[in-house]
Amino acid sequence: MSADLDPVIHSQARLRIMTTLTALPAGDRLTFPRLQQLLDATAGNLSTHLRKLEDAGYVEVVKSFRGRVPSTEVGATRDGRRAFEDYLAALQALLTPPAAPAARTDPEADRSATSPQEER
Amino acid sequence: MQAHPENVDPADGPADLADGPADPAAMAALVAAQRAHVVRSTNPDARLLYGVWGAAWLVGFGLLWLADRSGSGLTVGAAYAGFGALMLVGVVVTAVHLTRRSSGLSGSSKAQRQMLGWTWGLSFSAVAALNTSLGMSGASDQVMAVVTSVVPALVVGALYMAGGAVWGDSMQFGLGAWICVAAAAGALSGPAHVHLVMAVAGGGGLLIGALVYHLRVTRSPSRARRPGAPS
Repeated sequence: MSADLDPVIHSQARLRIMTTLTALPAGDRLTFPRLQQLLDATAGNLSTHLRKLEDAGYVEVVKSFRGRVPSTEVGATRDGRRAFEDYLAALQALLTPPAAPAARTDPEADRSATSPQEER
Repeated sequence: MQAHPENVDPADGPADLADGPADPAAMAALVAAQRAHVVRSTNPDARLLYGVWGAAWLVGFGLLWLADRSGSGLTVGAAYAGFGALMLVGVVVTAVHLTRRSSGLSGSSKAQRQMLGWTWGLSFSAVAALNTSLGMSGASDQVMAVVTSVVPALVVGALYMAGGAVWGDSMQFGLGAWICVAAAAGALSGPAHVHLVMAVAGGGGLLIGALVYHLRVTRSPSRARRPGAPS
């Protein structure tokens, strides 16, 4: 059933990470502690999932220094945003039953058939 | 609180993220919930800001109006002290709130917010300079009453309108237009009534704005304005 869903994103943890990063305007990044706070996650666990997303090219992890304090910032890449959009579209397709044959009058099917797919 | 991944023991901290896939409906719900949480946590809360400033204007200008009326027992000095303290509370609440909501953000959003901060800070510094200059050059109490009430309101109204236009936020634009109209009405009503007009129309308008935003939020909890939002 979930054959079309990108396995890199198709985990609750990584889906929440990608949702968080793509909720920001393109080009924006979050510091690691702030991302951790928005996800209510442990640092080690978050690092593990970020590494998988980074290996896939979906997020970039930028390490720098602010004065002498090390700072880690995380942002979704262009590929990551596209993969996330594709994932959402695939998810939506799974949730939308295929067009009903001829004279079917299921109000549920009607509603989902007319629901807007993507906002842009 | 500001932990770094390199030197943090994986065992400390809140909890491991729930892992593994869930069914599609649950995953879609997860996206909607997390997106709403992020938007709510990183964007300023208009209700808080309009509410604080609406209350500060209503009470602050109300005090000045009371002091204008003989027999109220409130001295002009005490009224201005109260007014100043309320404005200071507004500035502190706003600064703390915006700093918290922007914490950990970098990139275009951060630059945008910093420029907005400078816009408000510099324009109000110029307003303060104008008031000081008029006071020192012997402007009458009548002139001071009008200028010190109307000019700041004009700046607020203009910045709200411009902000509303840039963000595509018609509510903010409308509120700015209302504040501009209130400022004009205050100016035309003259020194005897300007404080009352600014308290009721200005402060009252901001409080109504806060209420309208509140109703909007409670009626559609996940008003995310981000592209690609699942329907």
